[in-house]
Amino acid sequence: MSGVETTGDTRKGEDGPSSSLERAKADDFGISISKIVVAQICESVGYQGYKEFALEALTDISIWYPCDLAKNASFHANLDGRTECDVLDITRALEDLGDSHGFPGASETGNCLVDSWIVKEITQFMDTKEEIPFAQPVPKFPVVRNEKLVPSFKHMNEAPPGKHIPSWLPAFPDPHTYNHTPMWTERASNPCADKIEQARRQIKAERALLRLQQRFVLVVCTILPKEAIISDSIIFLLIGDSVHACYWMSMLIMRG
Amino acid sequence: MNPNPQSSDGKHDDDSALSDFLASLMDYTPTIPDELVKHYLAKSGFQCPDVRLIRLVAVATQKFVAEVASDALQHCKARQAAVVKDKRDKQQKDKRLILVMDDLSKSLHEYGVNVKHQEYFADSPSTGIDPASREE
Repeated sequence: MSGVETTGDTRKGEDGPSSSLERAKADDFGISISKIVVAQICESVGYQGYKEFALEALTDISIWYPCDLAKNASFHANLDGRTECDVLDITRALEDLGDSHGFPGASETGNCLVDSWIVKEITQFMDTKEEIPFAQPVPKFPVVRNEKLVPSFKHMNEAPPGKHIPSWLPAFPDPHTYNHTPMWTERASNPCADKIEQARRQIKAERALLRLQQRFVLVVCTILPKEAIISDSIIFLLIGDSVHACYWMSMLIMRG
Repeated sequence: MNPNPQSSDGKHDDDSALSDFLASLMDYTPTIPDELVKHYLAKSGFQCPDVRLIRLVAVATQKFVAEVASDALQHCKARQAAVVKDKRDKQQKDKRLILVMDDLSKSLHEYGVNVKHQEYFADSPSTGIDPASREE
């Protein structure tokens, strides 16, 4: 906003951020917008600056006025047996708010509210005052969030735990959310039995290997010629593999 | 036979005046945005889907705030006129019109709103004590 300066009393916005002790209130957004509106109206009236406290006080008044007007209008609508307010309810509410300093025609009864002083004054205000739209576009607020509703007993196909609980009420939470339950079924461990089992499996594997070797020897003894066995055993001796050399020489002995 | 022939004509005039008034509301853009007014009206229990009534409340509020501000401005100008002009610099500085609590409280008092400005703030227990006794 051009031309309007603020002379803050205690606030020093340019020096640093606001105190961390200040918590965000529920209506901060509405109050901030109302402050800008009031500042714009003061500028249109002729002010060139404002004190922070004075602007905040006038902002509170500008918020209080439509709230009080709305309560008054809805009261008049309810008196008439309606829930929705119309223009005559608002006019009556405006007259009630103007009672404190009086208005022309206050003592008259039976005249239509359309001829009321407030309608004439508002019409005159709109005709004389220049239009000053709000400086920024304002989104619709407050933002409505779609809340996840807890499903009912009927929806979950569960029976309520008691007959006194109707099925259309939200279901109770699962037991694991409020009771400590184990994550998996633990079996009792027996280290002795585990070792015995491990030794048994090892013996079984060694026996199978021994049988395989015996079968292999049998095949070699019957198929391979004597000279091949001798030459292979000499080769193992030369390379230093005494184990395999003895093995081949034993096969030679068995061969006869 | 119509016992009151003029009353029906009067009613017709009232209806047309009302519809003209509501139509004029849509032609005027108030400073207070419609979303802000809708928010505070909904908080207060006001139910109406008609945008023209929202505009009516906005215009009425703007008119009220403008009246309060202009009354405060009159108080401010009257105060500045009564100040003795000693120096030229001071005179030029005082010509700036600032919204202060004193003028605002006087203006709101006429509308039945009591807004009192604190005379002082006691920041510490020794505030307001005579400096001589404070040193002791």
